[in-house]
Amino acid sequence: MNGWNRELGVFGEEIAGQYLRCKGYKIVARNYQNKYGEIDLIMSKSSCLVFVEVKTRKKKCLVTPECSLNKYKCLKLRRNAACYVFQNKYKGIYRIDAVCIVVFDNNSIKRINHYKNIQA
Amino acid sequence: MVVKISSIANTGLDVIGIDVEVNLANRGLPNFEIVGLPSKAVEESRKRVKMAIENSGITFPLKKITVNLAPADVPKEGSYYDLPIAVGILSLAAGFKLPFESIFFGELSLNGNLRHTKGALLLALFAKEKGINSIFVPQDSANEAAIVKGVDVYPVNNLNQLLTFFYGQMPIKPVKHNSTNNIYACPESNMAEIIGQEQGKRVLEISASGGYNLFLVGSPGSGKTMLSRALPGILPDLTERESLEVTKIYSASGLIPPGGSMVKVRPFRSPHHTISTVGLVGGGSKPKAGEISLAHRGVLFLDELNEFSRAALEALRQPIEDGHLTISRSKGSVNYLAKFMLVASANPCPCGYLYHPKKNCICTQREVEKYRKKISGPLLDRIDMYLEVPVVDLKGLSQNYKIGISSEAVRANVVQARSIQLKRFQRDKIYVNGEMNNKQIRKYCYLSKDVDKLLLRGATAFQLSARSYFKVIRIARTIADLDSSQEINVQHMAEALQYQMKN
Repeated sequence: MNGWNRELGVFGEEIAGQYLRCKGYKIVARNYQNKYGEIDLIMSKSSCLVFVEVKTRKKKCLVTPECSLNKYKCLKLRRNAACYVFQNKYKGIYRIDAVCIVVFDNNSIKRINHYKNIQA
Repeated sequence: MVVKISSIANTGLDVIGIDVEVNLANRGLPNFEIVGLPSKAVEESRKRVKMAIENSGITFPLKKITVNLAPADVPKEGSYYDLPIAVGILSLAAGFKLPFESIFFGELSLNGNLRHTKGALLLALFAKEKGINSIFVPQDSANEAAIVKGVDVYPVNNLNQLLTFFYGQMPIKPVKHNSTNNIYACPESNMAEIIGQEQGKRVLEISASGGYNLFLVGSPGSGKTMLSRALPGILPDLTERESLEVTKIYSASGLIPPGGSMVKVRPFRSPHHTISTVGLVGGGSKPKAGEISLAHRGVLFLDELNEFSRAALEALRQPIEDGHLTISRSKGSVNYLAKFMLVASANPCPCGYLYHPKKNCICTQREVEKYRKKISGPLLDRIDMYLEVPVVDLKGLSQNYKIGISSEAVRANVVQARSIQLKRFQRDKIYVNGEMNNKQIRKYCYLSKDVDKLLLRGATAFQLSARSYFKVIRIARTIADLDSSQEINVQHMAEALQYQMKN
């Protein structure tokens, strides 16, 4: 991953975190990593643990952020989430969400969408 | 949190009870699974249920939902598990108790409405047998289910209506059976429209009275098809018991229209000759009813008998004899009733003009033989009456022809003859002369010496088989009944012998 993309990704995660906090979610962890990969944000709201995948794209980009949330990505996310739940001995309901952000060239936000409970 | 809802599963005409168990778990990823050998239609019910609940303005619970259809080793088919699954989920999510023991049945549409679902009658019969007092079915299928008395049939329009009912806010009234929606069809041709063919009409009258199989042979355009199509018009309506038998088959096959009710008119099925064996007698990996079962208590009309595939025709042999058919497949065996009148028509040869008084037949002997060989002897032996339909004299066709006897008049005769038979067979489980077995023939068909002698002479001359011998007696009995005569006279027997196939 080149530095420029990474910069955009971190920027998007920051925005998504703020956006969800405004909606009443609490941040539990950021950039949780294990050997299967990474989960961008882990949040919680009303005793439900929420794993959030953040996708950020420039407006000029030819694909939408939703395009990359395919069934393989979802499978990976499910495994990662299961891993976290197991390690932290969490016993409750959890779900996987996605936040898709499209930004203009000057880093102002074109749109931000929150998808609850994504399943491929 | 587990809730149990009653529903059914049907294979053919047999119904067994199914428990739909719904579990909502508070841990893990939210998902929605159905276990218990669901077919594709049942698997897909997940999406319908989810959308229907959401579109009814209720949030679908974000929990791990598992639906079990027990007993788990019976294959589940059909779309009617939508309602029990939805009710199970809603009762857990909204926390209401189901008020009384009841069966839920119906397919959901995406907007939360319930759609007409096949098999409602079978459900109602099952509920009555098991002593379950109330069933919830889609509004469009309610009339069909309400045929069964002693079971409260609650018509449901949509999920919201059902919810307000469970919360006690708005009652749903059980429906009463509305017989105005009985299924009648008008006959396709009236006998009065058929010019000439007096013998053909007589044969139709006899076969309709006694329930005999009929084989019409004649040149193209002589009126074989027209005669056969007049047959439904002279048959009496189904009796209550027969009607229930037929309606059951139609309900299981999904042929009852929304809001429809009992099938009252005798079915008339005329499959095209390209039909497959399975289409004709029923079958498939999950046995379905074929045309012969759909023609139960009615008429199966096979136009151009020679053109049917040989396998399909040979498969008819056993059901013609037995009146029912057991289809055994890997996924189960089903017994379908198939007591029908077979009416077949054919040309005498490939060109069709073999017995034509004026036209010349251009077929070779070999071609004619090959053509006839397509219909096997055993099948022909099971056909009771045989008639060569003569060519119509063109002079009779002019505009000012006399209108012949109408279907209604013939029907009155048939009804009369059938009522005599019903009285005769009060203690037997049959309705018409055509169903008599040899023992009953001995009991009810006394033949005087003269008649017996005539029969023997005719049977020897026509080289009749033992089966055909008794067939002739049955036909003679019906002709006597049409004559309102107690005894079988010589002329009755002589007429009966006329309708046998000559060599």
